[in-house]
Amino acid sequence: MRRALLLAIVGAGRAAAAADPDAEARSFYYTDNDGLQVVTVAGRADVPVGGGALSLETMIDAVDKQAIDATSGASITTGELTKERYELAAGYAADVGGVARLRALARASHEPDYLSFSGELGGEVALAERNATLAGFIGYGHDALDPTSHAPEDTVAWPATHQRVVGGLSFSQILGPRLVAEAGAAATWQWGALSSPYRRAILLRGSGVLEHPVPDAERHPDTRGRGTAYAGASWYAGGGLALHARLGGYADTWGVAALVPEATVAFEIGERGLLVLGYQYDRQGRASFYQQTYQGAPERQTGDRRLGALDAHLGWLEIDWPISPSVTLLALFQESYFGYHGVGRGVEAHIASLGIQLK
Amino acid sequence: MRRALLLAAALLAGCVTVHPWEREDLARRSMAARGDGGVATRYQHKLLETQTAGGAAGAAPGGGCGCSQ
Repeated sequence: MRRALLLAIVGAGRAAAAADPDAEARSFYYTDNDGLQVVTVAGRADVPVGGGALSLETMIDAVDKQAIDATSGASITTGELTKERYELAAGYAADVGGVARLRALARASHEPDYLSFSGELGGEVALAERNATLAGFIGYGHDALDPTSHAPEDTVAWPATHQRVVGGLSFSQILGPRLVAEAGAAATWQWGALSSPYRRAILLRGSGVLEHPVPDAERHPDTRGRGTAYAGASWYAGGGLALHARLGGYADTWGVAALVPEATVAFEIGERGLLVLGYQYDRQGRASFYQQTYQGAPERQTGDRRLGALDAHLGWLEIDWPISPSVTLLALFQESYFGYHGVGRGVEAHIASLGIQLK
Repeated sequence: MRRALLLAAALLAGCVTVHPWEREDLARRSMAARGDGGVATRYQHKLLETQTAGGAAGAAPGGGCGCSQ
């Protein structure tokens, strides 16, 4: 979205970009100290069709989860979990009247116990002699979950579904020959079965030395409103160096709120090479009903540590290295730390990615 | 302070006009380097949804309840 906005306002135009085929293939390897390993293979291709651009994207995840779960202690999973996830997306974008662009996107993903469909319509319009761009989108999604197991005391009738509507607006404004500012907001409303059949809340039963933990089914509210917003700026400092800064925020009707500042430095190497260094900090407050353990029979309870307070640090290095006029090698390395408050050990995640881009 | 606010309002209202021939620096690839909408951006979005409640800032949060992790 951001690249499209920038191209629109600088006058390069996505139509010109879409006139040339563009393809990308990447592999990712994710591992963390929570016993999770994910190998991902992904591909994307943009092909000019009928005056617009057809975009196809696929992502395949092979997930291997050891039964460590040291941070939450709430999983009932025993033994090793392995599964594959397949995702396919197709979209079409076309210019309208020389100053606007409309796009449509459909996405589907499949796992042995999870099926997801979503669709999105969006567009952007250039304003003030292409010094500003206003963009927006709306969408709908439907997920179906047929779990391989669930807690016997679970009040959700499985298999179950949940739905969502999404929408957002963003605005980008040129502030000078080297400076662009942007801001945006998006919202989601979800309804349906929003608990996980696999996670367990921990109830404390008994008292004193006889107190003992008992796993119990997760009970989340069946609706959730969620919103994100951001504001940022990009400044070209000269000599091939650009600085990007952004402050993002998140809040939902479950009481979770977060602030997410991010800074990126991009440095051009030669005629087509690029080196990018990025850092993001994520500070999140807990959901109103989140507790590590519960007493009695609360109406709402969760085993999801992501609904607790957390601090996260993400740092990454990206390198785009051209090896011929039409082929660029892509590399990404990322180190992340997710510190869940009150939970003994944080999650240290490592990502390595290699890919190739054809233009 | 008042002048700064007026300047900011004027800028955001689009009163600054940068002509197409002045936008060479804005079109440089280092200016489009972050969140370019490619595969890596989509992957990053997915990672944040996996490990936090919010997903990527500025994007609509995904629909997952985290059930499938």
